[in-house]
Amino acid sequence: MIFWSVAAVMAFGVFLHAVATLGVIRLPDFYTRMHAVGMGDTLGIGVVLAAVAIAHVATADSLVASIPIVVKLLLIIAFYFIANPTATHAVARAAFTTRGGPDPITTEGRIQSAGDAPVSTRPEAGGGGS
Amino acid sequence: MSELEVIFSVGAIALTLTALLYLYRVARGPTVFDRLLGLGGVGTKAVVILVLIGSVYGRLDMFVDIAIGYALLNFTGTLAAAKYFEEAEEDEGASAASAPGAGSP
Repeated sequence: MIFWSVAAVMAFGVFLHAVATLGVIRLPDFYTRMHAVGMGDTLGIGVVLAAVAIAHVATADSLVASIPIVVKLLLIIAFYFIANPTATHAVARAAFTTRGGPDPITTEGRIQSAGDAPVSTRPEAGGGGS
Repeated sequence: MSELEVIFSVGAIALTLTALLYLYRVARGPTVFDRLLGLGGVGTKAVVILVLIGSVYGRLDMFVDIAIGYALLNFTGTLAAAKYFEEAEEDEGASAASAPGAGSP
């Protein structure tokens, strides 16, 4: 029972990490790659550490003895849920200030026949310097 | 080795493989920000692998403290590097080719 619960949660977490890794390798643009890291890694670390916490509570001698480690694990999860989007945002802001908007490779495949105006792939001058 | 330790061992091996695939982006990435992103992802996976290794060794109380310290250092390092490459490009002005932000192998 405990084995399959931990195995299921663990498999989901590894799956999320695998999806993030696939996005980082395969996506064409820096901003799309950052989307994969910001979403997949943040939830993946939470799910995997939750699996460790479940296993620790289930195998500990008493419930009280397992509280400190579970609190520390939840601390890591809460920290990453705040820190990972913050770091991703900082890197994105640095890239946008330095290099401008998305690469043309992500916008040139856009469907133009629907009547919408051609999309400018670069931001206006001064748009990135906030 | 109990069956829970088998789960954690398999998970740690799988996460190590994904971290190695992140290193492809670090080595290949066209811009320095791709490399920065890959390094942040490797650090994130290192924290998870540390906790899993501690669980396999039965010393989770020790390894979880190491993981907290590594998480703090990883976050600070990524933030500092992002600020550095952002301001380095701004200081260089028009000569973007010699700035570290435009580094390409």
